[in-house]
Amino acid sequence: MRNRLHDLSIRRKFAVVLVPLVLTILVFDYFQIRDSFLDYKDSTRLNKAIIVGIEINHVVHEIQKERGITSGYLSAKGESFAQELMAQRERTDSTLQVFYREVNDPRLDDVMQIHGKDIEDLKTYFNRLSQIRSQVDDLTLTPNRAIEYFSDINGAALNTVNDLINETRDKTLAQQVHAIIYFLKSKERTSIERAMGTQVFAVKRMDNDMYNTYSSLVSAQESYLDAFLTITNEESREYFERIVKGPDVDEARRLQQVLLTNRSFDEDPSHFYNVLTGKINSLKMVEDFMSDRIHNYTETVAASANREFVLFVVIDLVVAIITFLLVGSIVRNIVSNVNILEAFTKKIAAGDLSDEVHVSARDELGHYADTFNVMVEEINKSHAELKKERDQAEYLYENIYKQSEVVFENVHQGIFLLDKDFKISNLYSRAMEDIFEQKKIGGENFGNFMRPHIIPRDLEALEMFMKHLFNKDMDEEVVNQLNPVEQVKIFTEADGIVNTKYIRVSFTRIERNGEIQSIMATISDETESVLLQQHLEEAEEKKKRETEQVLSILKIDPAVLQGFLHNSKKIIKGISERYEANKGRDLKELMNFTFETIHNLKGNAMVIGLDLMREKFHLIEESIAEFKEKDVAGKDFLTILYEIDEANKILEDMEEMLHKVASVYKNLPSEGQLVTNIMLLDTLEKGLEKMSKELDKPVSLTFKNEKNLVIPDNLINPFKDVMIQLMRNSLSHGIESANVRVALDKMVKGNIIVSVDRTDQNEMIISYCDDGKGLDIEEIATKAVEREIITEASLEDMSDEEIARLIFNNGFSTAGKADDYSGRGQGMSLVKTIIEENGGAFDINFVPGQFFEMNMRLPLLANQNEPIEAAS
Amino acid sequence: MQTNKEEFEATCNLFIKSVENYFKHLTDIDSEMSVPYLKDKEGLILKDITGMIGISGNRKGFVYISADRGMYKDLINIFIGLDDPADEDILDMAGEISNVVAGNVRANLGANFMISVPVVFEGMPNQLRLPQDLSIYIIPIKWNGHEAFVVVGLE
Amino acid sequence: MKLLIVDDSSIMRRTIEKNLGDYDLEIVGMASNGKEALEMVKDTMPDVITLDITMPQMDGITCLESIMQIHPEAKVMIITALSDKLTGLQALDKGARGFMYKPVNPDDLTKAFDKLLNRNAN
Repeated sequence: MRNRLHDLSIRRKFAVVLVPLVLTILVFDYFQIRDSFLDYKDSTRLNKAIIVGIEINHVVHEIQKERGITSGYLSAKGESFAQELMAQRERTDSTLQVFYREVNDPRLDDVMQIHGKDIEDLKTYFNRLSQIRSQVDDLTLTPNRAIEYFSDINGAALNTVNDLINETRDKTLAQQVHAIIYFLKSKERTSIERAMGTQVFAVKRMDNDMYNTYSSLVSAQESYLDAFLTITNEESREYFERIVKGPDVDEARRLQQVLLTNRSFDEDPSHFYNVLTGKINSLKMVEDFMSDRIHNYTETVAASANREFVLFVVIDLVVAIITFLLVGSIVRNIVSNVNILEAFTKKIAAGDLSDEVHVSARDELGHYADTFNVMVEEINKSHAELKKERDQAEYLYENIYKQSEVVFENVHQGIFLLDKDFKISNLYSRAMEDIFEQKKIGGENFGNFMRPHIIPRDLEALEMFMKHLFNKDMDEEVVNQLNPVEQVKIFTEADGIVNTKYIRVSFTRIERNGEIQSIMATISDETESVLLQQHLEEAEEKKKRETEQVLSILKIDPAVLQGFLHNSKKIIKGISERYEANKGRDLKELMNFTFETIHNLKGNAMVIGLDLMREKFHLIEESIAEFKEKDVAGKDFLTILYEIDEANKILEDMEEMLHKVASVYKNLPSEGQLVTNIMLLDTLEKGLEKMSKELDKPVSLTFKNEKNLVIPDNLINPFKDVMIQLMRNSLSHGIESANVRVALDKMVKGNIIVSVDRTDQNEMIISYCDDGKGLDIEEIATKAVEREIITEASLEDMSDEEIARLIFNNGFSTAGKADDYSGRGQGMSLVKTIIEENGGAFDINFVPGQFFEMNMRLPLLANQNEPIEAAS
Repeated sequence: MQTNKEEFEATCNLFIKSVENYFKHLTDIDSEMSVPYLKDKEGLILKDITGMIGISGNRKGFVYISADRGMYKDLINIFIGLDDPADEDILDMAGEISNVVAGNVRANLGANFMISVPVVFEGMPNQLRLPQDLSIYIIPIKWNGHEAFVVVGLE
Repeated sequence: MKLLIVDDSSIMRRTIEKNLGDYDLEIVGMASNGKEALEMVKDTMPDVITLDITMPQMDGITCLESIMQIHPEAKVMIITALSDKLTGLQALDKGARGFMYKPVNPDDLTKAFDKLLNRNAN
């Protein structure tokens, strides 16, 4: 999946990134627009609903009047109000006509969709009017019943109004709608009061039921009015207070008090009707005022919602257009820049380095192009450098020039650029990978990169150094004086093998327009391959010299050799003394003196047949001869002195060797095999010395050879391997540390005794003994079980001797941890294997705390019937 | 990688050049190396004041820079025109030479060489803690009628 | 301009003094250790300071740090025989503007002062 994404073209990648983004924006905007649109729709519909509501209110107002008149007419048994009633019925009907016309208007379709049923219900209420009227005309209705009928119609009408206008999401509007509904309810109660009052004054009495109805009517009227005044806005309240006052309102209050005291009913019913009608008309004015305000308000809300809606649509369109224009332009720009770079890369790959790449953008691609140019510039510089240095490599040079890749593949130095974050450029020479034995170097922080290769102190210095390299306030020369990796030892790892290399790293600032743009680093590997070669040669040389020394010694009469060595050392010392005493005398003469002295020594060596020394002195002679030809300076003597000192050291080594041979062999044998014997002893001694030093356990080796035996060549290596394993074992497990030995009253220095002997059965007997702590049977048993060499049960039947022999088992080790000298579980098992491979046998013997001993018998070959005995 | 002989010579030459450079660079008077010789531990004789530089790492050893008071006095005279410097100044001068030489050599030796901060002492100490089996090379350097020793002992 | 020379070697101090070249530098003090140097910096507020690194009592790096706290505008030039790169870099980190290895001769000194003073004049 990820790969498929990565493989898309840049254009598609942009699309992948942008499409979800644009979709998200669109979804958000859709909701925003829908909200605005709904607001708009709500407001227009509410606006229309309010128009319907106002029409219903007009009808209610007229029905209210008709109710009042009807009540009067019925109370007077048809004797008065007849004319007024007819006129009022006409007005009621005409407002009803207006209402019916209004609800049939097609512009109100959306209102009718929601409230159609309410309106239809209301119509049936209105249709009852004709039935009520005919009953009134027949005088078959009581006034109270008539009031009830009319009030039912008005109640239904007001509920419908409530339903119509009581749906809005606008808080201000909702509040005003509630205010007007409370107001209408109060006005309706006022109207009923008018009807009841007119009736009461007409019949001049009021029974208890009627009184209760009237008083609750008045209190309902007051509370609805209070509610209206509480929630309505300032403007409507002011208008109310301004309009609903004056003589009619005051007279209405007085008449109300008359009715509520329920004593005299002398007032003229027409007077009461007219006063209340005056008050109701002023209430109607307030109602109209408020209806108007709400109507206007909904219109404003609708208009602003409409504006918002249009604005969002326009902004969305503009944003979408700008986005697509920008994205299109950026994609075009990137694609074209990438194409430029691609073309340039191809051009370089094709070998054309003559040009620079120009990407006008200042983005990563621009920087990449700049880096590219710097690289190409540096490549070009390298070309020039190479041309100077290698005239004869013309052909190769031509090739390099054709292909920039070849340069970075072939340049011997590691070359790369560092950016401000110390990151290694992605373009670097192939030699980097060779030097550090690591691939994919580009992009890594150089400090991090070097971390595993150098010591922490140098790393710390390197990080500080890079920081100062990029600090343009610091002089480049001053900073470069402090380059901590100018010459540094690095450790590289390949396939688990750690290599040590010596590298030289130099840094050059690359500045552009006074700013340090990057740092070019050049790394050269100074670990010449010669290093290893010379190490080997030196070791080889040393070994050869030692062998020769022994050989030389064996050929010469010890007394004669002793005399020669002593004499030569004295003469050499004399040379140095002569140098010291020289004090500015003729250097040429001093050189001649040296030559003659060395020449004489060479002669002496030749006389006694000591070729090794003859050759060494000859070499010194040649060195001197070189100097003799030119003007001699004090400095030249340093070389000579060094070589003379070397000769002196060889003489000292030979003295030591002579001493060693004399201690092992009573009579010097002249057989060639002896050389290997002496070398073997030397190896063992040196090996033991090294182990003893590293484990900090002092120990000496004593070699006993009573019968003057020589170990035959075929047994030299087995003998050496067995001895080394046994010595390792003694040092690791047997011989105690110095302070333990002191506490045990043992000699501080441990001792290992190796002796060789022979039997009459043509066998060589080698015995090995250390004076350490012997073997710990319990420990061996525990370890053997732990290592699953044997089971705990089988231990029961084993003798101590048998348990002790478990140490020769493959996979056994008694050391706590593995180190160079023990614990790989093969030391003692190797001993066993070697002995058995050579047809031998062995036994062990020990006393805890005292010693460990091993006796080996190795058969000699047929042609070695007699162990080679040194000539006496 | 150099052979032992080359490495020895290179190391010696670093010290010799550094000392010679010190004289040449700061006094404009050339110095000249005389014939070197070998001494054993017991026979070692130093001059009045000596700066000792320890060497550790791949090869262990030491380098002394040793000279008589007269030479240090001359140097002080040339540097600051002081005719009769105090003893303190003379020791200071000896320390400065060793410091500079050690510092220079340190910069030029490979990573395997560690060079200690020089210690200055007067005359012959009773017991010099020197490793056994070390050939001690005395390299006399003549400057302005004086003789200084560069004493090299390397394993 | 005021110059303070800090070096434990009197020879070195006087060598620097003798080889200032044509710079109009007035030597306001010579200190032989870090503590002395700090006192002098407080008293004289020198424009330029030459500073050795290996000194008794207070080493050059510690001294440099304290100098920078007292007088951050001072242009400090390290003159040392110590070739340890890390110490040198630490000195730059702490605010040193110049660096040179001993031995110094008149030419080296002049060049170093050129760099130190010109660079900072910009």
